[in-house]
Order: sequence, then C-alpha cells, then structure tokens
Amino acid sequence: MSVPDPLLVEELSTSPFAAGWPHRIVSEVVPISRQVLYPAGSIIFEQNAVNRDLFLICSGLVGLDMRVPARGNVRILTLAGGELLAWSALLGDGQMTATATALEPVRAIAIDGSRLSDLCQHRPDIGFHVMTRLAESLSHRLTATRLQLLDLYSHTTPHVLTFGAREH
Amino acid sequence: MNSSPVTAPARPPVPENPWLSHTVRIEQIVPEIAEVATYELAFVDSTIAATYQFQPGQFNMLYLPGVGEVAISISADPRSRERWAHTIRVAGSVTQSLARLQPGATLGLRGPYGNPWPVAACEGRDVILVAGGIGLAPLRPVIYELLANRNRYRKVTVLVGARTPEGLLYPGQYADWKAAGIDLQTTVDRASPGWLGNVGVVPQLLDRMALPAPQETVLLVCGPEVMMHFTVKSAQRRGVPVENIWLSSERNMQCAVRLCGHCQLGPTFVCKDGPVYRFDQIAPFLKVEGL
Amino acid sequence: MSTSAATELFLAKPHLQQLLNALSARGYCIIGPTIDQSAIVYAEIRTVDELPQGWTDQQEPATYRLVRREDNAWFGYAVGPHSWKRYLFPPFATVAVADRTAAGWQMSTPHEPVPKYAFLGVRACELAAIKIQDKVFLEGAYVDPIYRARREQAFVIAVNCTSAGANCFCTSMNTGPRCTTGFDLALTELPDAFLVEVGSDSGGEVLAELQTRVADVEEQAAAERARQQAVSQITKRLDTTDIRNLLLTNLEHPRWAEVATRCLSCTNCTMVCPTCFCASVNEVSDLQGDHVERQRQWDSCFNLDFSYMNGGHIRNDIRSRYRQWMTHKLASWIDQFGSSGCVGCGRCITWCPVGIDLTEEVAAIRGETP
Repeated sequence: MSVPDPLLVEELSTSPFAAGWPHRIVSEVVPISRQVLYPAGSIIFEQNAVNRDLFLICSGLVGLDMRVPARGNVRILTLAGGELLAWSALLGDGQMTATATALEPVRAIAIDGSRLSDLCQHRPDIGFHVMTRLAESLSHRLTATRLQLLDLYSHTTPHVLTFGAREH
Repeated sequence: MNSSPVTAPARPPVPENPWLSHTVRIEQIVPEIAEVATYELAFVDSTIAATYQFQPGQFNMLYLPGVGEVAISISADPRSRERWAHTIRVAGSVTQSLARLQPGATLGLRGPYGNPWPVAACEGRDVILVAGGIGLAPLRPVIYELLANRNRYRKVTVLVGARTPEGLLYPGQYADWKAAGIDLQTTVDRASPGWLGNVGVVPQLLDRMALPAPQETVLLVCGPEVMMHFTVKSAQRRGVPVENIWLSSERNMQCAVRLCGHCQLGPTFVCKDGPVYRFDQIAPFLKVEGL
Repeated sequence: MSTSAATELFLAKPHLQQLLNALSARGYCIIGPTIDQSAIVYAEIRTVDELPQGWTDQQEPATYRLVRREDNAWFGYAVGPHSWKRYLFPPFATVAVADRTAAGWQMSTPHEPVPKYAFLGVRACELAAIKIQDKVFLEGAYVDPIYRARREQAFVIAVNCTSAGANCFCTSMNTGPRCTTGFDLALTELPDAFLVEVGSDSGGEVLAELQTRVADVEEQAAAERARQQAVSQITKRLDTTDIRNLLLTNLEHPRWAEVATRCLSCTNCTMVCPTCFCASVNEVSDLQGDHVERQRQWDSCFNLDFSYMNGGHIRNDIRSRYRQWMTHKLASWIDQFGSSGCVGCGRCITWCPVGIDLTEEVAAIRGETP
C-alpha cells in the first residue's frame, strides 16, 4: 500500500466526521478513502443506482432530489461541507434513495463503503467511532426533517411576530 | 457607511392615557410575499413625528377603529424620521381590514413598546441573526443598525429560512446587505423549480457555519418557537454562551402597557419584559406547554 | 397613620348616620354593604338602615348563605361576592374613543365625570387588595387613568372583622384581620357603638364633625376582644413557605391535571377576586361606524380566547388555565409586583361552583394532602 496522501489525512482528521478520533483509527480509514471533485452541475449518483462510496463533503453544495411521478425531480435537501452523503453505501445494499447533484464545485472524501463495513465488523473500536458519527448525523438529519414536516411557516399554523391580538 | 448612533433608550413621555393612539396615515403599501405587505406609516401630527423614536425589536399597537388593535413589530430603519415601516401578515380581522386599506387612509398607532434587541452587546463581536419566515421583520431594524455602523461589529451573518423561495422576505435588499458586509444565507423548506440554493431548515445553516469565537458570538433569533428552540440548541452545542443568545417571543398582546394580563409568559409580561428576551431568562418557561 | 389604641374614639351606633351625612355633604357617593339577591353586596347606600343589620354569611367551599345572627351586628359578616375593585376598576369602562373626521380618524380620551366614592366596611384583606391593585394600576411605567381618578378621591372607612368565615385565611397571607393601614377611618363594632381610629387627615376632619368622645379603657378592651374573636375563628391555613419556587418548579405536577377534572373554567374565581385585573377591550361603534368607543371589560385567564394568538390558543385546556391562574396569583405575582396576589379573603373558594379550594391545591402540590 502506498504512502497515505498527507492532505487526505489532514482533511479527514479535521473533518466533523473524524474529529476527535485517535490517530490510529484515522490512519486505518485513510487507505480506503480518496479525494474526489465534482464540477458544478455534475451528478454524483443517481436515484436507484448502486453507489459503493460514503461521501464526506469538504466544500460545495450538493442537492438531493427524489423523482416523483408527474412532479419530476423534487429537491428535498441540500448538503454542504462537513456533512455525510450516501449512508446506504455503508448501511444498505448501495442502492441510492435520491439523486445527488453538485450545485457548486464539490470537493469530498469518498470512503469505500464495503471496505469500511468490513473494517467496522472486524475492528469494533473503529466500528464504534464510525457508527456513532453516522448515528449523530442521522439524528440531526431526522430532526431537521421533522422540522420540515412541521411546516412551521405555513399560514395555517400559529406564527411568530404577526402578533395577532384578538384576531379572529 | 457611517452615521451617528441611535440615541440611547428612546423613552417617550408616558402618556396620560396609555390607551390613546395617535393618528397615522398610510403613505405607501409595499407588497412583500404572499399575504404580507409593508405599510409605511406617517404621523399626521408633526410634533409627534418629531419626537417619535424606537429601538430595534420594539413594536407598536396599530388600531383600526371599530375593528380592533394588533401588535406589530417595527421593521423600519431606526433612523426613520418621517415614516415608519411595519411588515404585516394577514392573520385575523384587524390585519384583514388593514389589507383592504389604501394609501391615504388613517389609523391609530401607539408605541413603541417592549424590550429591544441588545445592539450594544453586539459591539466588537461576531453577530448572527437567525430569522424564520416573517421573523425577519423584527430583525430588519437590527440589520439597518449594524450596517449604519458596520465597523463596530465583527463578522455579521444573517441566516434566513422560509417555507419556499417565494416566502423569503425582503429579497430585494439581500444584494445590498451582502455588498455592505453581511454574510447572508437563505434556505427553504420546499424548493421550487429553478431554486438553486439551500433546501432544509435554518438551524442546519447554523450547524454548517464556522464559529471561530463562540464565546464572542451574539445570536439573535426570531421565528416560530420550535425553530428558535432548535436554533438555540445548535448554538449551545457549538459553545455560544446562553447569555449571548436572545430571542423574540410572542403572546396575545392587548394593552401593551402591562395592565391587561393577556401576554403573560411564565412570570413575565411579554409587552414589558419581552418581546426580546435573553434566552436564559425565558428558557424554563418556553419548555412548558401551554404556559 | 397611627393605630395606637389610645387614639380610638367612641361613636354611639346610631351616630354612624352622622358619618354618612357628613360624607354626603362632602359630595361622596357612599358605597357600603347591603343585601341584594340573598347576598351582602357593595352598593350605594344613604342610611345605616340599608346595612345588613343582624345578618351574617355562612361560607363553605361552593356555599354562601345569609343567616340571621343572634345579635344585631351591622358588620357581622365576612365578605360577599363583590369587592371594591368593581368601583375602582369598573367592570366596564370606556378607555378611548375614535371619531371619523374629514382629516381621518381622531382618537381622544372620553371625559366622563369621575365618581367620588366613600367606601364603608372595607375589611383588612380588602385594604390589602386595594394596595395590590394600586401596585398594578398606579406604580408601573404606565398608569391606568380610570383607576387613578377613582382611587385618588376615594374615602376609605375600614371595619375590623369581629368574626371570620370558614374560608377566611388572611392570617396566612399577613393581610388581616386587623386593619392597620390604608384607611381614612377604621371602625371596630361593639354591641352599641363603634370605636373609631383615624388613618388620615381627611379622616380626622370628617370625624371632627361627629359626636364622639375618647373611648375608655374598658371599651378599648372590649374592642380588642372583638377583634381577637375574628383571629381565633380563622381555621383555614395556606402555607406560603417558598411558595413562588414551589409552584414555578412544579409546572408539570400531576395535580394540575387532577384539578382540571373538577374545574369548570367558569371564571367565577377571577370575577370575585379582589386583585384579579385582567381585562379586554372591545370596539363598540355607532351604526354609521363614525364614532367608536373602546370599551374595556373584565376578562379572565379561564376564558379560552384569553390566550388566543395567530390562529391558536396557547392555553387550550383547563389544566393550563387553572395553572396560569394559580401560579400567577401565588407565585408570578411576587416577581411582577413584589407581593402575593392573594389576600386570603376566600372568595374564590366560596364562589367556585365545585368548591375548589386553592389552599388544598397548594397543599397537594406541596405533597401534604389529600
């Protein structure tokens, strides 16, 4: 195995994903990671296609779109630097649930999902760190999705600062 | 950009009859987003216009005789001297009636009331304003104030969330604000075709921000209570101290002068102790449902 | 305002009419206790014959009955459904008017004659209630002009309690039963006379016109015994120890849900409370809509609409409304006005149709009973 790219090591160890990990664990993940670049407008992966990489976005904006019959692509979320993309590469069968598009030039670290999965299985210490960060990320995403679901700015729910005293 | 600071606490003389409104005339109605318009109001009595002052975050009671009164935050530049902007969403009978009025019509106004945003506490610090929906309206005077003395503040960030791109308030001003040294970011819950910006809720924008000096960061939040709750959580996770977090709350405001009892929130009166609260002063009571 | 027993003057009972006459001559409208619809209420009186002579009120939770006394005491009752707030803070009042003119709407203050009241029969708990409402209406950044106009010219004749009702707990709230301050004159009733204390210069001036003499030691001792009788009859207690924190740290206590199964949210407790001050303003316009009066009327935190905000109600169940009322009265009030909002008069207990007793609710939250 070649000498790890020092930039990749730096990028990974300072990312929110690996922040605080012992160096030995970062160094185990580096060999299965690589830097990737996507120009603005390019597709990172398509809905229903198989993708084997877990992405850690370093910079740029990624749009996640889902295809809805008769509505076309609906953008459900955008992701930016520090956020994880394509959990299904690690947790599922690699079939993507949405299409990811680079809305700006995107720089990311791609981690080989099946090799990371193997690593987690054989090295519970690594597995714990990886899965904790993944769970945190999922938890944040779930909370954000719930907030979206609440439709807080809808006109039919109480609002802040229209101050409707005795308004009927 | 530079100009004289807003004169310290604007405390107009206490009126003999706190229920008495001044007559104001609608000078202009600016349609904003759906069901929201900005009303530029001018005092008919020039002596009142000459002394009227407000601080960012304060509100006025607008009165339509025969219909009722409604508390509306002032969204004007604190340096306004002739007309004062009020951004109003159609929500009930008073605002519905207001929406039917034309420029030239008169109505009543009394105020300003309430605690302002802590503009002085922002000096020398990084400032983050987080607005949800029409919550940008009560924060706009702060933006004017920060821009008027931009060099007194370090990094100024404005995070704006809305339901849709069409629901973003004051979009025509964003370019000016950015050009004047504000990092303004927007996000929407639901994208429309053609929207190339952020999709997601406004606390996510805060999650993504670099906070180089959380201890020296002041956060001002205005929006639906749930949105404010998660925004504050995000800021606290990032190390922003509670005493640097301020939010604007709301209850049924009726008299605005602490005499009618309606706007109580825990042991406080929103009209007197709010609407702007330091987070730690109100946090225990925001958590209780139905308080 | 000295209350030393040495200053007590003897006023023969029938001569109380002289006091009423003297006040009338000074232009006062005298409001005193009188019987109406089987209750002792506060209304305009002209003669002492209109006082509830020989009557008392039997009170229990959800119970109020007038019964004959064995004696003919004129002030031998506790408190009724009225309080003096209905005269100082009227249930209906016009706070502003608006007129449509060629130049647009013009708002102005209505200039109605301000009644000049003399209150006869104000209990110690009621003096405390007036003091509390003074804080609310007179001592904030904004003053209520309607309250101030009435309050400034009111003449207050207190009457010390010589008996107590079953719902009285002024001793727990440190508001009575002895009248110590806040009156122009204070009376203690004896079988054939009143002993009178002077609380102000104007009280002294009026008293000087009446046929009085200095009370002798025996009369003073009799008055003290009569006042002590009230103290000894008070059995209800409210433990106010650290009550502010007790209630505000128990906002999710299961007792709130329990009391909500009994409370009807009828607003009675807030209407009879001598300190509750919540109000709403309604628009009352003429048929053309050119003249509009802003009419303030008593409101209650038990009304659903009270917490209406932008399409929803903040306090949309009885649990949250009862909690608002009680925490405000006994806890938040301390933050807001520097004292409890409760004076221990017991009206909210008597006039609650289901007999909810706030002293029991506090005890339950304290974990004591029942």
